[in-house]
Amino acid sequence: MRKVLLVLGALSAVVPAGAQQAGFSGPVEGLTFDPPTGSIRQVIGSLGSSRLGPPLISLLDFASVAPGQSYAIAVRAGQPFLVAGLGSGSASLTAPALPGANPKPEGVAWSGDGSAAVLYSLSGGWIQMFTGLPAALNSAAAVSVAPLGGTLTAVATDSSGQTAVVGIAGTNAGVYSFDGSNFSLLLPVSQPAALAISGGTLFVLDASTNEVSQISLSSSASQSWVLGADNTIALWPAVNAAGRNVLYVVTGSNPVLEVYDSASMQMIGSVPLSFDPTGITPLGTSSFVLRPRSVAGDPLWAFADRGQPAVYFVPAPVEEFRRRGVPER
Amino acid sequence: MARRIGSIAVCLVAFGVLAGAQTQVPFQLVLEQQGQAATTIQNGSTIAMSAAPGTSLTVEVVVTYTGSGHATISIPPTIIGSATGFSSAIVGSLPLTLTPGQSVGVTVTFTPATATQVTAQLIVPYNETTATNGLNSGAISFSLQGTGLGSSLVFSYVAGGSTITLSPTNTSVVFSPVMITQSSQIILSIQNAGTVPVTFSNIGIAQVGGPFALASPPALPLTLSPGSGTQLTITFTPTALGFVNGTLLLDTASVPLVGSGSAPPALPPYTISGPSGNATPMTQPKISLTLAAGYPVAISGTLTMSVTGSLPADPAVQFQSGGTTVSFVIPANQTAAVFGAQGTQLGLQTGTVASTITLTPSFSTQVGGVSLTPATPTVLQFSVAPASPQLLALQLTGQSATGFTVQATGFSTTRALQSLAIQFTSAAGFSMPTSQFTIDLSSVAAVWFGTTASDAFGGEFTVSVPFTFEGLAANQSVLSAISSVSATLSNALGTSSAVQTNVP
Repeated sequence: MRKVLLVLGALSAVVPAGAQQAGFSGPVEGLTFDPPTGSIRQVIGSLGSSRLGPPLISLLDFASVAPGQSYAIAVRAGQPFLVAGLGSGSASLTAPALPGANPKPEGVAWSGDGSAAVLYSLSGGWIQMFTGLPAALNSAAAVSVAPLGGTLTAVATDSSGQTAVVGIAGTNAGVYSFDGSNFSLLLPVSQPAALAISGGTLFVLDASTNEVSQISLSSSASQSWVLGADNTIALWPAVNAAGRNVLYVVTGSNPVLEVYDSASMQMIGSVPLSFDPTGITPLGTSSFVLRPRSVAGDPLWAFADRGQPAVYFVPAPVEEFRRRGVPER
Repeated sequence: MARRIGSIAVCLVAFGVLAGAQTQVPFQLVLEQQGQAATTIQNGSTIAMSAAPGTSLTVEVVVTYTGSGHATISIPPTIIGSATGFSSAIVGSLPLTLTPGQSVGVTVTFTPATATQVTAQLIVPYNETTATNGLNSGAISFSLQGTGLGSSLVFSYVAGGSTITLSPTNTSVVFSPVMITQSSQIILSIQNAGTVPVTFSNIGIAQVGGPFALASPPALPLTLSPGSGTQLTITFTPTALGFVNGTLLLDTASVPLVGSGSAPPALPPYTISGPSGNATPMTQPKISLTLAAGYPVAISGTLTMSVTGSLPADPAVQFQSGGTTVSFVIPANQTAAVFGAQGTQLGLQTGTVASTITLTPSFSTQVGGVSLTPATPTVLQFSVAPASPQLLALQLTGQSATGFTVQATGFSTTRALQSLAIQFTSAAGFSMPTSQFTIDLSSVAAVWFGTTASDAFGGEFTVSVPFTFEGLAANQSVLSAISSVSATLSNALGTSSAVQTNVP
């Protein structure tokens, strides 16, 4: 441990004692659900020189890793479970299944600190809020969005997990907040394709107009910008490695990753993609998954923003796992 | 030479009488066959009989003496004409004597061996003794006409300017050796030399997907009347070295086919495009493989990546598709290798360890798997050079009331480090008498890179250095006193660029 003297005014400093306290480890970019193997796997190394590690837990229908990367919610045989122990490089399902959880969720929207999550089913049109993750779990009853009319398109939750935000397309299309009891219209939007919350700001992507709206969750004040790109499919607000608040956007046709300054909504970076992205999902501190693997032989596609966004593939060393007898789906 | 094939057979049997040169004999001649009406015939008539090869037809000529004395038959009937399939016998013991009105049967049996027409002569010698004429010798005589009912197919083809007809000693259609990637054709003539039409409902090559094929299959069903024929064009496209057998099927009849493939033409020169010389570590360059000219058949191949050097190989050195081998195909007459779903451009990772990376291809014909790999294949080779370390990210973690940990992530292609230099920049209102710290990492880095655990990360590492801070007031957080932290890493070859992280 090095000691440094910080003072108001010029005083003396303590020189660090001994270098043996420096500790080494191998970098792991993050954890991700790998559909072809139905497993959660590490991305070993840093993007650009990384690979998928062996499955930590398998036989999963679907999984979503919490922002802290130490636990996840996984679905096995239709039942949602909490997966613990990811931070230690091992993993296990907690038994029994998440108490009170609706079966067959299709997605998980996490709060920023991972203490709250909203499980949802786009096809079933329901959401279910969980707080107190991972240890002091509280679940609310699943709520159908059917009374809103239209179809569920996107879900997000605030940092506390007390409020969920849903996107509804079709009849009564718009973005609604849900406080656990009632839905309230935040913004009428034709096709809310993606929602994300950063700090107290909700970001909404309207795929019908390629418009991004920022809504203050405290004041409900909103502001919208039309993006230059067409066929936008996903967005994610973040703070990049340079400490700048940015908004990442990907498009589906002529695929491209664009980076906007989230304050001015000026585009500050753009990277053409050689593949069709499916969304933007956090992977590591400054990295995001753009396209999970779909079949064996596919790489995972991700990007890192170490000041400038750069897109990388992450190979899956299939030979290694064949030797270990882990089947690829 | 005719060759009977399969079980083509016609089961018709029949007989009849044709007019011929007639000589008076003192007998009434009646032709009988079981189930048929008796027919009076004249001496010298022709008896026509037909039967399928391998079957028999027997008729009986009832000979009744009509003279005034007596007639004696002493020797058996004689068939003139060898190997015709006819035979004859007297019904009764010889010698026998017939008085007026008495009868004896003479059987004639036709057992054809082939589906052809034959003729013969039946002679039944006799002596007649009468009061007026004394002893006279004579003979009952019939012409015999036999038809073996059925088809008889004759197969022939031209090879080397000669017509080769299939026979029991020459049973197969034989192609001359053909170079793999090439084809040859033989026109097989089929002639119906039999006596009845033959109809084929199905004609084809038994081995689907094999080297033999019918170029233009005839419309089916195909009927060949006696004396007519057709031609089939058989194509042989070998995919493997050495002999190969096939079978031409005409309904249930079969014709063996024999061919052999010889070595294919050499692979055209090719190039592997990608990094050369010293490649940048931790990058994902694209590679491609291109033939100088198209090859006549589809090629399948494998590109194998090997890593050599004095340091443990970086397991991140992989193709985009995963692993250190990748399959490709080059469609016939095209030049670009296609790496599955990745297309003609395939990414690879150069890794973070100083080493030499070599890409070695192998080639074979897609069908048949005949190797096309040159004895000394052209390879793509490039190196990741030993260099100064690179710092990728700097994070402050594990914040407490009195400190935090500086976490630096980077890589060193030499798998060795000397030092980490950290520079703190104090926030406004704070000062830091000593703000730059250089930590000697030589020993601890050597320990880390000496472990097998480190091998999984190549030259990558995360080094964590905890710091505690003194002099803060009770209501002040550590991070509020610092505006930014920057760091550099050094090894024996130099120092990295600085990376800075701003404290929010």
